[in-house]
Amino acid sequence: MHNLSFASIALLQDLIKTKQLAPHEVITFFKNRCEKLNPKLNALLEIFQTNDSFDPTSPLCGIPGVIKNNICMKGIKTTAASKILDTYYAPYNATVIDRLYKAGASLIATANLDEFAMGSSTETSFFGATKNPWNLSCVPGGSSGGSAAAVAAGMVPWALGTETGGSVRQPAAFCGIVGLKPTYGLISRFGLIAYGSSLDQVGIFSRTVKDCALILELLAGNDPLDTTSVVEKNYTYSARLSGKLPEKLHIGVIKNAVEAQGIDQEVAAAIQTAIKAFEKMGAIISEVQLPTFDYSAAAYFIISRAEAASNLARFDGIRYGNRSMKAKNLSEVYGLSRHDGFGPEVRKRIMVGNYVLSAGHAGQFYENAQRVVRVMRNEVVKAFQSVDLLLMPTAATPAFQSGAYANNTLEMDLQDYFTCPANLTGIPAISIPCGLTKAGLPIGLQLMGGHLKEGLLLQSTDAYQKITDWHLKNPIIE
Amino acid sequence: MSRITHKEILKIAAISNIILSENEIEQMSVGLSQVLDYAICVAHYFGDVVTQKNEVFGSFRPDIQKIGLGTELVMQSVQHDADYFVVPLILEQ
Repeated sequence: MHNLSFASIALLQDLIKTKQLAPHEVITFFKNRCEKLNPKLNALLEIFQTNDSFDPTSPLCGIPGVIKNNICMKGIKTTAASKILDTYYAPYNATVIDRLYKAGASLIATANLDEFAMGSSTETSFFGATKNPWNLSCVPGGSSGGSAAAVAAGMVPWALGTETGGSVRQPAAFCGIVGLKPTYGLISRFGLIAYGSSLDQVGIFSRTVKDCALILELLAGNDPLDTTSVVEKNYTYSARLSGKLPEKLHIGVIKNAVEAQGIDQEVAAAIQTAIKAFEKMGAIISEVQLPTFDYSAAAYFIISRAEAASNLARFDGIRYGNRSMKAKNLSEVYGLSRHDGFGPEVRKRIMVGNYVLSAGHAGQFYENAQRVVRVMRNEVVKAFQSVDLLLMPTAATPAFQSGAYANNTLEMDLQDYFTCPANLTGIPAISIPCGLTKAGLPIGLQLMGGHLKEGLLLQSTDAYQKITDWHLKNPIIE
Repeated sequence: MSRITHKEILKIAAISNIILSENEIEQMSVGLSQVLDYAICVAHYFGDVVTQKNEVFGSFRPDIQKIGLGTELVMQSVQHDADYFVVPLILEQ
């Protein structure tokens, strides 16, 4: 008897193909599990009553998934976890949703998130905080914490999240699952509620790297509705998963990252063990220095907030968003709708964005941030001339206690420290589980590849999962 | 820590179209100062580390504050009410 709750997509596909389970039985099982566990975790915002028709030839026939609630699903309430969009029903599907339906996926719920994907703990959601299935007093990470918690808790085998500065990889690390941020432009952003348009990407959560490759194959591809969408010749990833590392794989360990101040000792030890595992598999390991990475969080703060200020200007109670009924004139319609509709974190990020863009400050902040990113991109290109992959922790610590940074929002913002370089440079990056702390919390290992090198990333991390069992560990929540 | 002033917060709130209470202005002053004090290190990067990076300079127009038109433009409109243009109703109520 298989434990369906934590089954991989590959196993579920096999059970359906061999007629040991019918697609509707799988869907019903996971929907029931969602209904049962969600009151404990608050990972999901809405569980749908779906009337699925199943096409057995579809790759995701009978495989349920959940979608972060900042990705538009036609006829579904798409709130971005904000009060200002509490009554918004998307009138169209995002491209990723159309592609998933085409592949036969059953999308059974929307997932909780930090309001407008702004946060690292899924505590800023208007609909309440999500809890970490490994320890209910801890956060699941964010902003895609609902998606990550749902996969980790065995509510679904896969989920979609989104990234601007690490919102897939950090929660994947905190919840002990796989989280992929693809190359900027590989997956369409059409239908994603924008936060920082030059950084935003749809990402994938799964239990195994193999499952991640399967979902990526279905989502990747040029989309004429997204002008930043790339044209790539080959979107085949599963076929590369041989269970072995590529010959003479050269991994560069980012020295200034693994030795950075504030890294938890158990995280540091787990990363060193993982490095040894790669070495044992035949990888060539060397140390690299990327000095601009130390400035990436600052550059990310500036650029993401500047873009957020611009993107969220449309939510004014007239063009988009709920309108304040207290307003007595036009100015108050804007001012009160935005004050009442946005939470404190979103208001703060908008204001930081407008500050760094305002005349007199833009030179100091925004222009310098853009210059740092330019240098960082050059540095990364140069690094990939001598190594194939870059390695560092996904996060400095394991999942922290809920409310731990309530009075120190800068510390919370710095959760993006290790993840935002991949967003700023547009390269793909993945987080995979590589250990557990003594307290039983997962630890994430991050690997980054060159532009459009998802195949190499997935092959290498799949090989790691063949010789380790961290991805097979599950939380006990029942 | 340099502190963003009450006046600056009000100015940025106005640009952001967000009305804040007095208490929120104080909180925002602390919050913004924390983030901006950290973020300013991007300016130090070029001063401290890089001496010659010609290829990354000169891509922006000068960061000069200009005086806006203020209410002058509104006053010249056909209809106005205080600082706002008055737009005729399209649909009768």
